[in-house]
Amino acid sequence: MALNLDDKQRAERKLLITVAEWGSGTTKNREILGTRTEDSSIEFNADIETMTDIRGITYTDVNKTEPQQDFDPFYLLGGSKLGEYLSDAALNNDIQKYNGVFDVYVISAFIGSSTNGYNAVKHSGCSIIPTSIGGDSYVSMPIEVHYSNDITAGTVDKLSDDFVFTATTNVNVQN
Amino acid sequence: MANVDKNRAVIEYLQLCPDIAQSTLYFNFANIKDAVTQFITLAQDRAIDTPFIDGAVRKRYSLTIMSFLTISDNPIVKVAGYSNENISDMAEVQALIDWITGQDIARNFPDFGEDCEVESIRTTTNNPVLDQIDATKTPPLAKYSFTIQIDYIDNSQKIWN
Repeated sequence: MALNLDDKQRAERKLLITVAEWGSGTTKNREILGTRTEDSSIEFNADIETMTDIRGITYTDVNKTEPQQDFDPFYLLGGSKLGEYLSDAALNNDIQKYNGVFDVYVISAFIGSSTNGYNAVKHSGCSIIPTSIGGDSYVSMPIEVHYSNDITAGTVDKLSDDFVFTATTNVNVQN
Repeated sequence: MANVDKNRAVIEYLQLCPDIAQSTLYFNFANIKDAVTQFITLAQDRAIDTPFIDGAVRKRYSLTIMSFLTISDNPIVKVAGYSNENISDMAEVQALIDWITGQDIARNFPDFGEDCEVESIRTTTNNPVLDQIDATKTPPLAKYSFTIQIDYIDNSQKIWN
């Protein structure tokens, strides 16, 4: 799908959306990540090997990626289901509550539309890890999202928690 | 998404303060005399706005409040039951600052509409400043002032519902 941007128009940061999903059966929860966060990027962490032959040609092999995205600060806000869930897990040292139990959607709202669907990828079995809790004036609990690379590509029909994800392909990256 | 007139919202909110409600209130221009409270708008530099990755923006609204009260040239005396007028007047203005602090603690904020969440309301100083004494008036008038700042999150440009 083409970018739905005018020629030379920059995509605003709010068009790249990360949504966490957890729970099971009919009681799945979803929450957008990044409320009150000023800056956050997906670091792909590519594992790169380079070799230069006797002709001076450099070859690059990308062996794997281990994508990760940090959200700092991640304030505990009233009404945040994810904040409640993760803070409880962190304070009780219940690692299994956040180890590989999240599906994380990365929605590229600069590709697609509400008519045809916005481009999205779903990473199944991700970990969202609280790295600390505290801060100065307000309680912040910075988190790391570790993407699984168990990817299903597709689209979402709307930009809200009740979106419907429609898969197009399953891209299971072998490391 | 109607834009709420924040000046009107803040003035309606401040009128809930018993001490302000007893004053003659003016917005920007004032007919200066005793027991007048004047609100002065302040422009807010967009450079201090804080954008977030979801499209929300933290912004600030500021307003200066000026209180005009007669001022006395009586010295301070240690007489039981006697309160120096100037000290009492200062306490009246201090009461406004304390009221705003109390509202912030109780999270009672002005209503900026459904697209805005007010985070805090506070004064920039803990006590009022004496800006000026107009001795040409009879009795002389003192001008006290302080500035309030309201931090709020503008969600009007968020695309996630």
